[in-house]
Amino acid sequence: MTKYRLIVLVTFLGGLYFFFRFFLPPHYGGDYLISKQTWVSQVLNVMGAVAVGLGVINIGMVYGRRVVRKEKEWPESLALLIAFVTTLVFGFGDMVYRDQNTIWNAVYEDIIFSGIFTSLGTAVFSLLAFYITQAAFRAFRVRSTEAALIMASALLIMLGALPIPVLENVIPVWLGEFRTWILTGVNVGVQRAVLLGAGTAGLIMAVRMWFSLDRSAFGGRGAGA
Amino acid sequence: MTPDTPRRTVLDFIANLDRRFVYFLTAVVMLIPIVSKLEFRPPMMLQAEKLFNYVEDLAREPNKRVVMISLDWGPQTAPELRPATLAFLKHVMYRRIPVVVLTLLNDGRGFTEVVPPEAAKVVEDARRAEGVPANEIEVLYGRDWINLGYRFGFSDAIRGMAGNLIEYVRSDTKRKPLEEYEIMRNVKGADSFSLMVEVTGSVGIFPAWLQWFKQTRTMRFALGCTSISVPESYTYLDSGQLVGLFEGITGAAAYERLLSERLGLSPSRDTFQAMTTQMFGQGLIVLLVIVGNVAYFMLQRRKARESTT
Repeated sequence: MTKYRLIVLVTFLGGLYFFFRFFLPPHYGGDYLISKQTWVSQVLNVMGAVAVGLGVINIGMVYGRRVVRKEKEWPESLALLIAFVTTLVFGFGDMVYRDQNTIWNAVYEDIIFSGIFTSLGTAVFSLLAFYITQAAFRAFRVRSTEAALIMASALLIMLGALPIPVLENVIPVWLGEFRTWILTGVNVGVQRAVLLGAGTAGLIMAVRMWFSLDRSAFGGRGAGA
Repeated sequence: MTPDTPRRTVLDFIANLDRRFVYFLTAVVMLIPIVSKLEFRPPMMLQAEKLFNYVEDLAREPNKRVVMISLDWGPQTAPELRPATLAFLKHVMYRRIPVVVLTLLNDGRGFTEVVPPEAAKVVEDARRAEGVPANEIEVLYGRDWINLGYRFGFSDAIRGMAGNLIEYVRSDTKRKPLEEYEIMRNVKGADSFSLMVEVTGSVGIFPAWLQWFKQTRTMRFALGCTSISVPESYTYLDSGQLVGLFEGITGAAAYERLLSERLGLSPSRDTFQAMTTQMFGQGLIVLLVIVGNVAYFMLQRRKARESTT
């Protein structure tokens, strides 16, 4: 059996389990399949762990090669590898000496997680505030009726949610009610339409994956190719 | 300036503000409340109040079922979602409702270890101030709360925990079997919980909880989300699947206000200040949009006038 056929078979059997788990009535095998859920979950966890392992090897190969051969952007690759190995080593150390005051816990929790990872993550995300302000200023221009509608509703929703004390008596009550109407009326209808569309697309995608019709999963090969 | 060079007026400057100027203005405006420690009083938010009242109802039940909170957020959305998590944990711990803490995101693992003890400390201080007997002050790990840490597998982990949590998770972050903890004595699967609170800024996690964690008994969901994902959350409010909602930092601040006014718990000043800072940012956006449009219209009128003459 070729590698391609093996993947197609395993994918089909995996999909078959979830299909019957949901569609079989309880007394016709549905209960039995549900009782095997924990086992199936553990199998999927193991597969996920293998995928993580592959990712680690991949990072080592791609960025390690760049550093060894001094290819373009090798200092950045070296920084990535140092950060990766340091986090890995101290992460394992923190796991082994959990709830103890060792150097492993101090370095991992206080320096790597709280000091570097959290601060950098928050700082990078906070840049959004600047980009959103700039984008809103540029994009919200009343150039057409549609743009006017979008801008008016966005402005009124934002104004209705601003609890600025000096504006409490200035902003009329109807603004708050209008905000609620937009969010609970117009918005809910639109969101449901989007969700329905996305759900239908997801279902089609799932069927294509189940029957291995999606050629991208096989690098261009497959029944649909 | 030669006679052919177009004249740049104040209107031109405003309508085409340099992006670096907008960035600078944003930084200055948002620094004002941070530097001056300015705090606005949070507004009353209907959805936050609904969740608050629901927890109060749970607290009145004779056999309190466990609640679950999933901290599915990382450093990126922590400024908005950490206050919501903290406010909720303070409430359930104060009302002695047992709470199970976990995360489905690797980024959230560190926060599951930091935020609950922070909430416990506020509750213990409040009990001390109220003169509660010494043996009833402490919020005990294993009895009042437990940390299941990072659960790998996303929707599959949710399915596994909904069926049989003890069998699926097996041990907590201290690597002790779950059966050894008092809080887990009556916990089996999703049926054992009275409320599941999802706190996230990521798309798709909450619908996964809705799809896979609902079981046969009455169990309600609540959601803490970032301001940007509020519109999506209203779909679930409208369908009645959510009992309440933290609408971004403003929702968290409104919940803190309720904790302070109705239970006497000291409010988190950081939450109030974060809300005020966000308000300043939103106010600036509103102002810039209005000013930009006025300048744009006046320029259009000027161009129309010039083309006719």
